[in-house]
Amino acid sequence: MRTAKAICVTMLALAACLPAGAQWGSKLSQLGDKLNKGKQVKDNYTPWTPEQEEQVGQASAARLINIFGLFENKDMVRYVNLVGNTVAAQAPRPVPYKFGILNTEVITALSLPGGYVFITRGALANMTSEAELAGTLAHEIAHVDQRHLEKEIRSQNSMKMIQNEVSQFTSGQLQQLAGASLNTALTQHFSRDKESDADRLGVSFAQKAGYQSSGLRLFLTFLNSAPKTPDTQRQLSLWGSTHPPFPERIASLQTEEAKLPAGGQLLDTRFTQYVNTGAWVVKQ
Amino acid sequence: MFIPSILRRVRRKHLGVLAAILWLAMAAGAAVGRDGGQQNQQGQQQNQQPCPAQGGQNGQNGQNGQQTQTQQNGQAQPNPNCNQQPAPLFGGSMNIKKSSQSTDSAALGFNGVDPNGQVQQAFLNAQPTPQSQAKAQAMATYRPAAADLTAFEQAGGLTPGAPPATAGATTPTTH
Repeated sequence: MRTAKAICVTMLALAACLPAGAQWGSKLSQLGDKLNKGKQVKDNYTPWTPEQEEQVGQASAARLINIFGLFENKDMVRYVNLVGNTVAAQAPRPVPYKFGILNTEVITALSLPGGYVFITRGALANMTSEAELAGTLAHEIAHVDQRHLEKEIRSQNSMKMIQNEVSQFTSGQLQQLAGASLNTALTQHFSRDKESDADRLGVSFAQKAGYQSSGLRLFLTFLNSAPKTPDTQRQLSLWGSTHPPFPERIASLQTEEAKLPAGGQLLDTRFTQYVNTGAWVVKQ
Repeated sequence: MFIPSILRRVRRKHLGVLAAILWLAMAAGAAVGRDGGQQNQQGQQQNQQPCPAQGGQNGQNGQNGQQTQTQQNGQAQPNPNCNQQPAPLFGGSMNIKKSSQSTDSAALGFNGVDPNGQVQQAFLNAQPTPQSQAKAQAMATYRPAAADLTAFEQAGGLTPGAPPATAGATTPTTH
């Protein structure tokens, strides 16, 4: 009899405690998330100085150029720099932006600390307007403006030893940071939050510069409908492995565009004049 | 009233066992709550139904892609933003272009990218050559002249922005 009562009490207690425990666990989980976010903010508290940013950016850019090569046609480089600087003038943080064209079929764009922004020839060959180029560069400018790559590197355990207590890094530290920058830029995703931020800010920069805010979305929509051939996959895999899926971004970009005033320049004719004729003929 | 009366009858030596069981129940509940919270967060992230690829740019693949997405996300809510998509940019079939026929293709190709489209680790780890370092340095000093930028913006009907830094700027040749 006593045993039966004890079992009865135990069952009642279990029934009473399970929901309470579940709530407690959920709150613990939320608290853990908040603590993690707080830690990230703390880790990112002291940003690199402009000199340090430039040092890391240039060392990483040299490694990147070492891999893909740089396309050095003066007219094309000038054009991309003009479009890039037009958009970069709308970014709040003063950074000496510089824009380069990587000599590869791969379709991607990426940025490094210090304002080093790259677009590939493969990407340019598949754009049809200046607004698309501006939108793509604007996304990368937003990553630089928000120090996304720097924050990502500083959160990596292997990089925590390198603090910015000195105005310039040692040669060893610099190579370590340059390697980490390039690895992160070419092989890793930024978090969804950082990518969303870059999309939101990028659309805003392009629109404020006078371009149609739909530029990046139109380009991504085009790429999203690419045929799934091995060659195409090879061209697009790098973009896919370092950015969220196209449909997800297209949808969020559409939401951001709806918040902005309509209008702006597409400049498809000017783009065609610079990119598809004259100095650089792109044919299928 | 029922529970205290039972508790009074339970021997002291059983109270320890009872406490242990209660503690285990709380811990199990906590684990369930944590998992549930994570699943909810993931569910919220994935609940945004992506817009299907626009038709017209790539007849066959566009349609197949839409069908596949619909099958995979049968229970998901349609994204209302999809209705705001403009008309297709291109008509007919679409092919990703290559720039290999360019007159300036000195070293064109995939350069360090494997057949899966990923950068090979050996290239990532390689130290840059002096030539690559010089090119990165040259890139750092290149800046369009302020007048050039203003003229470019005006010609395109764009918003004039702050002029870029001109220190060390080089004015490239024009067409």
